Amino acid sequence: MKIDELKKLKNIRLSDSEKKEIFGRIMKAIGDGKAGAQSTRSVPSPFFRFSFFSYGRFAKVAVLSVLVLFVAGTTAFASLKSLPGDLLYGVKINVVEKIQSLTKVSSEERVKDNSERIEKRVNELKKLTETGRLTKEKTKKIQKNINKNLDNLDQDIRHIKEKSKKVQGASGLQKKLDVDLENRSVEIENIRKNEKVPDKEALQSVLNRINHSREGR
Amino acid sequence: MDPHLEKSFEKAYAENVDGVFRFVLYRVSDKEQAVDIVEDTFLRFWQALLREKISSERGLLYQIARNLVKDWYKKKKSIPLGNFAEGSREEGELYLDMFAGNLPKAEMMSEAGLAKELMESLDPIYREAVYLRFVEELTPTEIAKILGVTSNIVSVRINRGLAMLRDKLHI
Repeated sequence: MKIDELKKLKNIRLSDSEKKEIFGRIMKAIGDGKAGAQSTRSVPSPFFRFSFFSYGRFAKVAVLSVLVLFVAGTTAFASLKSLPGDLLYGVKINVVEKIQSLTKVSSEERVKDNSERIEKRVNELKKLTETGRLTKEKTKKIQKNINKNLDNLDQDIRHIKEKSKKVQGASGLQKKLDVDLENRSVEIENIRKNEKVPDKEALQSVLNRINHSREGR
Repeated sequence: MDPHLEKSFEKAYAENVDGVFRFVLYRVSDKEQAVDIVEDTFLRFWQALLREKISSERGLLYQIARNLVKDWYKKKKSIPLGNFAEGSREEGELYLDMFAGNLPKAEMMSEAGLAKELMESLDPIYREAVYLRFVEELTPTEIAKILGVTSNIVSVRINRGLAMLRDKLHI
């Protein structure tokens, strides 16, 4: 039937490669979001957008400060006297001291801060030993924190040396630091001698690490 | 992307891309332009898929394509008046007539020349309905949705178009 002639109009069609190409462009447009593609795409809220790590030091300080104040000003204060094993020890190390460290802008300030924190860790060791509460686990925890402070300290000292042309200033800080670390070594050595200390090897390791830091400079 | 939705989309594309392309090409008479409109058609179809469950995918695709062709010719002012056919009296608007342009020979196979002549011999108002029914094999219901008229009107146009063809073909 001649009307079937009309069906010959169906002979006009795209080639397979043309169809693939067009399909590819369509999927790309969908993927690029040009076709309202992702109905489940999450849209950042204009009201709340917070990513701690993308913000600078000041913002981190501000946020942590607010956090500490909001959560419990008294809690933060109470945590200052806490020791490893206490409930608030984590708050002391990870919140209170963290905030304090974030306020130290220069390398010199950070060196002093890390040195003070090492002193605090050694004092914690003393108190735990005196009260018979020092365990292997707590020793390891303090060892880990001291090592971290020493690493930070070494890094900042290197940075100071690289940038500072004031030799006098740099060596003055270094001398003070040496004295501080020497005092810490003596204190740790005394603690280590105590019979009640459960993990003398860990304390020896800390001593070695302090000496390594002093010799490295 | 929802894999189920993606699969539906891919299937709809594979089954209908040629038909949509032809439908557009026979109107705009330019392959590149037709391809652009086809792409837009499927992108809008995707949007529709995301929003709602679609009862007739094929019908929706042609409907979208037709609307895009209308948008295109509204922007293009150089089309000769003769290429326009009065839309249905119910629609009350002009639309770009099918087969009104001069398709390059390469795009019209010679054996389809008769078919083209047949279509051109039809009253423009019947052309689209006859084409969609006998070339793309859509149902009267689908055609009604595409043209925005009732199924009855579609049936009337198809029957009158066939009558004209038979008259022309002396059958």
